[in-house]
Amino acid sequence: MSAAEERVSVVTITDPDQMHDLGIRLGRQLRAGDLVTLTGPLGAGKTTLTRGIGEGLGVRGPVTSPTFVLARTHPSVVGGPALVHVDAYRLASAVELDDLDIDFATSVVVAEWGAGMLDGVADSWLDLVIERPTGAAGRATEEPTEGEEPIEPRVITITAVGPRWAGGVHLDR
Amino acid sequence: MSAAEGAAPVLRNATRDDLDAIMLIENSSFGREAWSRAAMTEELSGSHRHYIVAVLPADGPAPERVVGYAGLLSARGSGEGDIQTIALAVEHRGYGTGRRMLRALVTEARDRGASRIFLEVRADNPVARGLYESDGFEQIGVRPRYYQPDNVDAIMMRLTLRNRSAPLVLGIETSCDETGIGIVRGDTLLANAIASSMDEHARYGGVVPEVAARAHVEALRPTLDRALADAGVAYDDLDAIAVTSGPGLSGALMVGVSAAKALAISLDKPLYAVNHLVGHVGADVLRTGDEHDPIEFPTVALLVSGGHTSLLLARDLVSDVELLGETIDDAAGEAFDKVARVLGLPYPGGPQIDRVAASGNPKAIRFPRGLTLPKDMAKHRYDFSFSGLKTAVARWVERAQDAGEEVPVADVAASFREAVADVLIGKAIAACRDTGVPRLLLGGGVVANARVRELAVERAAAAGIELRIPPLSLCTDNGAMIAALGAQLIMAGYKPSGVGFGADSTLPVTEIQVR
Repeated sequence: MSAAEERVSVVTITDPDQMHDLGIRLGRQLRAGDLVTLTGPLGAGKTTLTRGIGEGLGVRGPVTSPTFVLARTHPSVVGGPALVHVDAYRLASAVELDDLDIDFATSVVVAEWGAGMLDGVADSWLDLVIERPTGAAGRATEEPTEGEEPIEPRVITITAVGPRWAGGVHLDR
Repeated sequence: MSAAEGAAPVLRNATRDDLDAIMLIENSSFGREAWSRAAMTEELSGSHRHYIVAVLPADGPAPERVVGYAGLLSARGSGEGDIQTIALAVEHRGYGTGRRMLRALVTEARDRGASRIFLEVRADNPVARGLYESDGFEQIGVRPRYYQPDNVDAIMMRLTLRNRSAPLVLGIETSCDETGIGIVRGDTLLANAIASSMDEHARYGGVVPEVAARAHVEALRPTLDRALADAGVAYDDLDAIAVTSGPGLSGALMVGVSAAKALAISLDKPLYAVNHLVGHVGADVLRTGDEHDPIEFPTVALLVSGGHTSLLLARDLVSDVELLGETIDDAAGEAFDKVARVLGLPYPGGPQIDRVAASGNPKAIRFPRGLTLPKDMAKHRYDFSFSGLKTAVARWVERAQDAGEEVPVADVAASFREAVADVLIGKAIAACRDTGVPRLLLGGGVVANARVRELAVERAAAAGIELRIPPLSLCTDNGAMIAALGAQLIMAGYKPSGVGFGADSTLPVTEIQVR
């Protein structure tokens, strides 16, 4: 892939609310046929981001984890495209992705762990990699608050691939 | 005076003394087709007949007045009945008296042991046809030009009477990875045959919808055979078939729905399409031999499995079930699977974590309780979230690994399990308290989890709440609970679903029966 076809931006967010908000802004830019892949370790915030995308698109919720069912379709409530939320973690290849019989052309597809499966399926997509602190990082001197869910920053690298995203991704509020 | 202003007519058995009044209505209602006085006399006194009249009772000087009549022909032991006639004086039509007379005759036929009731109706009388159809009669044929001299067709209709006191129902459940066929008679469990494709999913680390659907196709016939053999009944004995229409995996649901339709059509049995989650609640109406009091309603129900984490308020099993809350991210069973993965334990995670946790300290690590902080409780009082808990466990394990420490798997598993059980039971008890309902029912595979069960027993007792946990074989997905819900619908007088419904992967819990 040539460098000219890729545009990379990096976003840092501090908590789950901001992750949700980023999803909303992203969702508002998406249209039928668009593809988004999400990569990040367990608990990175992939489902939180997708819930925001769903809100930005205006689809029927709740957007919950698709791990158990592999793919879940959320129809639009505003006359727009449906959101197809895929967990590709357990899929070995794009062939198995194809088995899910997803309607790529008329939906927005968000595939958790879908990176690397889309060559040949599409010529344009957004690839998001979410990094969260791992191991001792970020908490070196501090014990987690008892009983509270950990709130830590995330770094999101967005790579826009192909002609659909020639103008880049606009994440301004 | 119009009929609406007076008192409603009452029904009583007809006598020869009613003949004059009956003939007046007969002649004005049927004109050239009216029966003769001689024929009517024979009807009123004939054997196997049952005639009733609708009368306005005497009111001061005004004598009792006959405003309608209806007749049944049904020989005891014949198993069949015929509605001979129903007629009402014209000013008394449209107030429900015709329907009351029809139902009185149906009741009489039922008492005489009839299971099928027939009638003929003029093709050009849509009001009468509508009345019969809405009371369950179906068209079975046409007699051309039956009514002479008007040259009008007769529509032949039939009502099939179900066994409403203890119907024999076969239930089919294929919403996930268990092929369940159950047979019940009323609230008595006769068979609960289950085939699971769980082993086939283990290598994928979770259920694969396509694999599950194919496994259902293979398992259905043998599981059906096993259930019928266990119950000692034949297809012909069945009063009805019930099937899970949703929620669940689309492809998996479709297998059960198709099979149920095929059976219903080929055996000519009524079919009830029901809600999987309400079926879990219905499991507790079943008697399994050990004497326990029947479940009472209203009840709060906590249903937790690989695919569901739902808190319901069932005010009535067949007519009023409300979703109080559900997970906003991962199902509880899914959190078990993911944490098992973090701890290097195999799929499915629930039993694995339960096993390892037995030797761990549940208080070793205080993991977060999702959606229990005051700021969350306003919007998500009965909702669940296990995503943050899962992240917290992953972070804790990573930190230990990075620090070169050995991960205390038993303590992590026990502390994680404690956090899940604490939230599940805490919210369920809160729902009981808030709604003033002193009963809690547990359902779904998570009931197999020792700590969840233990904590439920402990806290329900402390709160004065009656806790009900059906046997495990009725808590995990099964066909018996679907059959049980179908039987309850029949006993409550609900009509079958027909065959026009489909699988609905997101069927809301408020839709107890799909019509």
